[in-house]
Amino acid sequence: MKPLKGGLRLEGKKEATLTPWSSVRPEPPRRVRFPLVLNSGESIRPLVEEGRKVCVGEPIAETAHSKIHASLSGKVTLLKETIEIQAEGREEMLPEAGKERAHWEALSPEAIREILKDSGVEIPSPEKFETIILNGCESEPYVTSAHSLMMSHPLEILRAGEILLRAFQAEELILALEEDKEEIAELFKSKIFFHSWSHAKVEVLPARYPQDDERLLLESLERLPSKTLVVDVARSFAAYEAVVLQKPFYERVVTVAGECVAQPRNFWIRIGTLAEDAIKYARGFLRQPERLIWGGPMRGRARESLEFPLLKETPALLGLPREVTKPESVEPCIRCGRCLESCPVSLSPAMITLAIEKELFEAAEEYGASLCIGCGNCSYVCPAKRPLLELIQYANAL
Amino acid sequence: MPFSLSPTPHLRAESTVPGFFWTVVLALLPIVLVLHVRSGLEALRIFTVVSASAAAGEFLFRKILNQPNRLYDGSALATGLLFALLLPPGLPLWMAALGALFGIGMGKEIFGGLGQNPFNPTLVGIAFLWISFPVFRESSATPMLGQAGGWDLAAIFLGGFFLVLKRIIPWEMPLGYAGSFFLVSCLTPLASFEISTWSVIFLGAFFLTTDPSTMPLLKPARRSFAIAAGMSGALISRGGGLLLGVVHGILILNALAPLLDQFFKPRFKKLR
Repeated sequence: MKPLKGGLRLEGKKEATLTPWSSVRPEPPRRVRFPLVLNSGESIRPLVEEGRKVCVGEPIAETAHSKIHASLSGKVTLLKETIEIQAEGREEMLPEAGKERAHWEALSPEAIREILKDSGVEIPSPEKFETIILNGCESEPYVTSAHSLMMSHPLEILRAGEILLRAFQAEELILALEEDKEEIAELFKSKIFFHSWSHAKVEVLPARYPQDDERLLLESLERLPSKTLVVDVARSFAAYEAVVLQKPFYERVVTVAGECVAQPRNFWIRIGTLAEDAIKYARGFLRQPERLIWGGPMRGRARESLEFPLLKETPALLGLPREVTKPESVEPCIRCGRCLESCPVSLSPAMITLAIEKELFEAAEEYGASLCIGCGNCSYVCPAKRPLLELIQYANAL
Repeated sequence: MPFSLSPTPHLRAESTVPGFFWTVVLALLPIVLVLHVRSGLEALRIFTVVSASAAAGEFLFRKILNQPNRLYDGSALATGLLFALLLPPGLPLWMAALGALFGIGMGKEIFGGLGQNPFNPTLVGIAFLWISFPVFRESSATPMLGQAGGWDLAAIFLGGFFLVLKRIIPWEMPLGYAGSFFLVSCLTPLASFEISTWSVIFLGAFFLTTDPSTMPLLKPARRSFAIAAGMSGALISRGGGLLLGVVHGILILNALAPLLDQFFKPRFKKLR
């Protein structure tokens, strides 16, 4: 196991949502929204028309690799590039959802992959991998959704690992965890021991951001990207529910937290729930946050309003106050070199950004601009508060 | 109602640029204190005059060059104190003030200010005095530093370790510099190896090689910088005295720093 280069020890700020660590399942919202255009530009094809009545778990849209399912039962409205469902009447589910699938242990790999695709758990195209890694690392501060899920459903996650092993005919299952999750590691190790799973093992890595980045995880665990599938625990749990309980991916654990939130907690949130409604689960804001973040504080996107939906990839919704985000004025680069020390990919953000500021883009590339993984360590450590990541991403976009 | 928008990351470390330089000033205070206790008013006079001159120099030069005032960041004071430590106690005050003024103005501000200077402003000031005033050259063998028995050396180590712990300076630089300086000195012996010379060497090791804007960025480049500066320092000292050796040894490497960065530039293999 190779330690991470240039990682940062960030203050976890996880206590607020880990006492207690269980996830609350609140009342479903009155409406959910699904955008029909992804960030990648890929478009999603709706499978339902305006006015149609759907029940929970019914497929409503599909992409090349996956499907989207209704997370409320009610009426469909087609807005501009969005499908909205308004809850109507008593909640209805698909009849088989929640019931154990007969003979799921005996499913063939192709059948499992088909089920995963049909249930909205996006799977990659290759049919075979050597290793499956369940990514239980959660290096960003505030975010604890994976932690909560692993504490409450350890066996299901291990079974999910088994299912994925079968689906991709892999030989090795690794559960990757950080050292601040010792208790979870022990929990998993004991379950593996009791079930005598010889092909599964737990790897505990130092708690440094951004250990949870897939590419860095592969480097740390010394496995080849082409032969390994990395799945985060939220998706693996959804895979378990899809295969074993015939339940499509329509809800997930999301951490609603931040110092501005009244009762920070992990919640089971229906996919498509608007941030507005999710904040209400946490009893609203104690004070107006300076910044509202979709995701974690290091990689998440700041949003202007609460009018956006939480989707399958959303691990957290954060309301951060001014004293945490500290908007400060930019000073000149003093060439202290801290950005170089903290870069996990050994780039030179100082050199790259000094070159970018002078529009010397070839020089920026020579110092590694296009290899940036977007972790934000450089901007974090810079004493001059220079917008290092922003400049690098600007140059990469050109 | 709208929340502020900003690119990632949304968290920042506590460190700031003024924090950086004021920490260096803090690390220098034990040395200043020790020298004040030993040399009394004379030391205090030089420190005050030089610090005031350095601050005034920065202020004036920036005003003339139409740049905003940056006295709050403490870099002028850090430069001033370091400069004062290398001056002989009996030096005329006007000469000391002029040296500090020149060092800050022509060694830093003329290049664009903080972060843009290729040469250590303290050393530029000393070099200016060396070239311009025979009086300085004659009395430079006994700088203020080194007159306090072993106490100022202890204070240098205290300040130096403090800076290493606070991650203001990398530990490899002082080690590389002092190590190569002593090694080369043993092979080509200096006139003497007293405590006073040690103080100047270690001041150079901890505080003069490590001015952030004047050292290379890449780790292997920094190590080479420190070792080479130590080597040239020891060699130059043989002919021109310790102060010349330390000061010019580092100045030469300041000039070579960008070359070192270029030489050690990593070649990347794609992560994906």
